[in-house]
Amino acid sequence: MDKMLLYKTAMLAGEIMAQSGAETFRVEDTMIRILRTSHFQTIEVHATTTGIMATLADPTIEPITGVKRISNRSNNLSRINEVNQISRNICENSIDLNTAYDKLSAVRNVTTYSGLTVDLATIISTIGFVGLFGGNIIDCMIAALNGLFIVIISRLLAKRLGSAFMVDAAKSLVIAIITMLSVSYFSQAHSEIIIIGSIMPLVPGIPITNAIRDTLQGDYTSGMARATEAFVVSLGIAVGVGFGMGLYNFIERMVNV
Amino acid sequence: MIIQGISAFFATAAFSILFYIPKKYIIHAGFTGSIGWFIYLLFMRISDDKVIANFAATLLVTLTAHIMARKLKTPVTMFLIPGIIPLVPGAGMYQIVLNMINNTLDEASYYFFETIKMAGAIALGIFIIDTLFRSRQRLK
Repeated sequence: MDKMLLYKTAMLAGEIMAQSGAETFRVEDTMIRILRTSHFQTIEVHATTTGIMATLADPTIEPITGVKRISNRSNNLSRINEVNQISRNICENSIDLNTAYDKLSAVRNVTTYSGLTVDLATIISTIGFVGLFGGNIIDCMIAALNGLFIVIISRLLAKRLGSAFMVDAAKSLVIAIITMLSVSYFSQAHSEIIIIGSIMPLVPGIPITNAIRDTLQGDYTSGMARATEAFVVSLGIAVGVGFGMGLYNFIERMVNV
Repeated sequence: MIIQGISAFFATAAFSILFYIPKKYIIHAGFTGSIGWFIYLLFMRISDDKVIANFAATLLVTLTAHIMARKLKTPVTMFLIPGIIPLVPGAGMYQIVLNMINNTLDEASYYFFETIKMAGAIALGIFIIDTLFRSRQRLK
């Protein structure tokens, strides 16, 4: 068995999982399972949200140790699922390491959905969430407009601003202003339901869920990191909505005077 | 209530695309979301307590997610995250910000603690079902 290849495969699997928003115990578990197929004496894996490290050692070999820094994270559950399947196959010995490594490298280049599909899904989800919270047809139509603006802002600003906080704040600011303007034209519309429904695509679902599950697992470092991430994103949304509504109220008062 | 349940399905299904859930599982994710929201609305009719309704809905969502994950051999998060999303207290966060802007701080602190309680209910719900499944795994 090629121990270096085994090590590289485990590190790559861990890296992809950590970058795609997997829970810390899943990252560690996957890497340990892959490394264990070697039956070496010492197998140590440590993962946090921001980095992974692993050691493979045995009296018969030169020990291997390495660190991988996880810098850019994005949420992609499909990749977690793919890596999960490949690691299952490795443990069942149904594929050899070379194929596994190639497959893992390919996982990164797979695009599950095109940009247009994601944009469309954003708009459908804002409409759906407004319906879920009990909005009427007019509310849903305003939500669709909000969804469209979320899409436009992510296309225009996401790369330029870089910081997720500012992008979320910008999106929710525009949502708040559009909603307040629309509600002043349509008396049957409910501003509360529309704003809550429209900010749902921005809500940090993966950090919240992972913060809970990591903490319960005993991975307190990762749990705190994710809780902070969820808090910062929520703060960005709150600042945006608050600023947007404050701005609207201010302008309205100026116009009425 | 039925309309809200159906929109929950579409909302969660569309939302799961934003998380890049594989195509074949979108229907499952939507199902988890609408089940959770349906239970939430049902409990809101019975007791009118958001915290209890959230807790009951989280229990059922987590249970469904675990069963689906076992059956389909996928990570639990695949169905758990879309299922939890409708229950996240976005309305509470909105009320906190709104009341802070209007300078009604009593209302703001009321909604602050309600939001914390609802988030706690979600955490407790996930925790209970996770522990049950983990201890079952250990016994095997």
